[in-house]
Amino acid sequence: MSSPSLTLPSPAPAAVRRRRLLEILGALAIAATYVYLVLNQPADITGGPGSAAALVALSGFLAGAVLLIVAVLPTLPASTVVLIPVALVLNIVLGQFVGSTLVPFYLDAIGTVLIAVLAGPAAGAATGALSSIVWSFFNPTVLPFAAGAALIGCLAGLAARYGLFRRFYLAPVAGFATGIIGGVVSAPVAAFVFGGTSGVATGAIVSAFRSMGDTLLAAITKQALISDLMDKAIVFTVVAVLVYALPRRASRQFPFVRRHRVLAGKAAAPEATRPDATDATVQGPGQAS
Amino acid sequence: MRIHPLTGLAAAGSAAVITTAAASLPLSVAVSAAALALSVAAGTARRMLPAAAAVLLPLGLSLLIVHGLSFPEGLTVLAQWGPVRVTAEGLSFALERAAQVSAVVLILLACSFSLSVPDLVAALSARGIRGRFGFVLASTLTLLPAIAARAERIRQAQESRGLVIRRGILHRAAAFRLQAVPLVLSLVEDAGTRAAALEARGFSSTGPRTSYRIVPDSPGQRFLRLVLVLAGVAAVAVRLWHYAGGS
Amino acid sequence: MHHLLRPVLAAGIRSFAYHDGDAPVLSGVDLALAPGTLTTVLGASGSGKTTLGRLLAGWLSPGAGGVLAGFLELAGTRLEFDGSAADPRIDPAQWGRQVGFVPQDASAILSTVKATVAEELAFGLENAGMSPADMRATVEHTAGLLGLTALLERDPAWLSGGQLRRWPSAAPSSPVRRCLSWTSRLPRSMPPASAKWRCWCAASPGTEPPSSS
Repeated sequence: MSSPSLTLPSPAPAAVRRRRLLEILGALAIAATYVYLVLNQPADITGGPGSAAALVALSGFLAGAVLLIVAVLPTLPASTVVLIPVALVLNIVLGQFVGSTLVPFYLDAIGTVLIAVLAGPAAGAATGALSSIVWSFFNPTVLPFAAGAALIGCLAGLAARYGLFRRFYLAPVAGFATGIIGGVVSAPVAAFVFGGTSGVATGAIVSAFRSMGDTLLAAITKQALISDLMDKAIVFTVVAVLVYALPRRASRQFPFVRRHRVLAGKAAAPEATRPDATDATVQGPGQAS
Repeated sequence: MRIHPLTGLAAAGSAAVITTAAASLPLSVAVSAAALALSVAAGTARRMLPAAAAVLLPLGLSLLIVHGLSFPEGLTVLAQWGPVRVTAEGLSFALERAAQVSAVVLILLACSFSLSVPDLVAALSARGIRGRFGFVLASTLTLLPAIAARAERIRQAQESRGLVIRRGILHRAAAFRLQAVPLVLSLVEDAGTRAAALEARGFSSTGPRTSYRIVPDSPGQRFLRLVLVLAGVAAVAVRLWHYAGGS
Repeated sequence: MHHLLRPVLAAGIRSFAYHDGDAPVLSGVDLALAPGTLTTVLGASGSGKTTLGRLLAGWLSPGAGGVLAGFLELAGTRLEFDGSAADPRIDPAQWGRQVGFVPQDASAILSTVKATVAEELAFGLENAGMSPADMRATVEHTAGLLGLTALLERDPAWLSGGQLRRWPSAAPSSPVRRCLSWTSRLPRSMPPASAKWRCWCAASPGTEPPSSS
């Protein structure tokens, strides 16, 4: 019996370039949508329910999120793809779990940030976007936030790449910064798609800013800054606790963790002789962003 | 004839887009009513209504607080206490927005609760991106109850070892750590084993794939899907055209 | 009868270390498993039996999973590794068609994406692109071997650990299956912290393994 080859060929560089292009297009779609919404917002809100702005927000952000998924998901190794559903469940289960044991925060990005720290910004972005899309099967209102969730995953991966998880006190700082950017980008969705927030407490804060004369977008952006800042600082701290609790064999199995020395501690000794070329080709652009 | 899952998704998505584009209160109410009727007919109302209520009640209340109590753009003041100004424009804005979001949420939930996930995954399961998206979707839905049950078992085990959640943020954080760390450790370990098992069964193979589960499809449904997608795109285009034309 | 003596599965492991920066888990292991044999390796917990089993079954790829210096050989194909970037990359799907592996927690082999036992059995066949008719026949045959015919329409999550542990031994790809590798705890009478790794190699591809524990 003629058996096929037991080894894998090297991937073609053309496919890697095409994926890179999709990634850039996705990021551009999200950025352009945000800029458009911020520049055009005042005319729309007073003219009744601003459905044109809602449509721009929905289609631009969703298209960007989908492009990111299409670019990243096929390049991820199976070990990361299998971990993504676990991360999505953690987003949901730990979010509720923390809500009942810790403080009144809505911590729904723990799994996304965990993947970002272990597998890099591209994997984090894809996980964030997938989390919103899959969660929308139970709660369609999270669907428009896919781009914001992708951004949080990407920023968490960048923070890990540049060593912010090597010192324990830097993780919440990175969380603060991510919360600011994520909150600012998600605010137009809340303002134009929903015309408000999804919770009563956050609604009261928005109402307070509005009664001081703010536009709806400004009021929601300020509210998002207050909530997301603390929320993401806590999420990043929780993830730092979790990744340092993993056995080294588990965390160092991820090429991203080894290559960028994401976690403090002694580097793997054989790395000097082995620059992870095989992993780099399997992962494609996922690691380079 | 069975409805292909992608046809259901296309119908719900198209209805959601058209409702958002139209931004008309009567249409929003009609779509909400149709979604409720469909879910009663499909027998999923009992599961769908609590999920819809959990999303829509806080959202509706929030809209009422935000726009009912302060709408600086509003001119017809109905009542005023200090900084709080109830205006007719604010209330109608809240109502229209709530109706529009409710219609979209109800139609999408009616679709996702009556959809057969295995059929959807089989329909998606070509190789590459669609197969991987199907994997993430189905695996999440399978793992959700299993992991929730495991988290509960870990909590019980820690409690039987004397864990008492005391007041105070540090105690609560410590309690959270005792429960979350073992949960995440075991999940990462399992995922590693599952990845190896899936790889050995050809998860990443690049050749052609076949499907064991056969999802009936027809040229009529394929055509219908195309029409639904085009209708959604047309609704967006028309709305943006009007907007750009300075409606 | 020379071909019978030639090992079907062999390994020469000068050293194997995970990427955790610790000392090698395996070193100086030489192993040649002949067709028609059942090999048992005994050792304390943590002595590397599971690592050895996973390496031989293609579940732990040299390079991605750790650094291997040495060789692995399956059915006459020898792959040499020295821990450099030029090392070959094992195709786990092709390797897995010939060598089966049963992990200690057998429920981890479930794909988590299939709604019925029949579809779960068909997962590997779908990925290999088998035609639907052949797939149905193979699934029924395999279910018969495993005693699962009555459960084909059930949710795979309800299968017992024992049913799952037998699963890889009759995996639907068994026409070319040559070896089956598994680890298990020893009976209570043995020292508590020890376990065994076993590997059974068929006299000819596709033969059923002996009933195992």
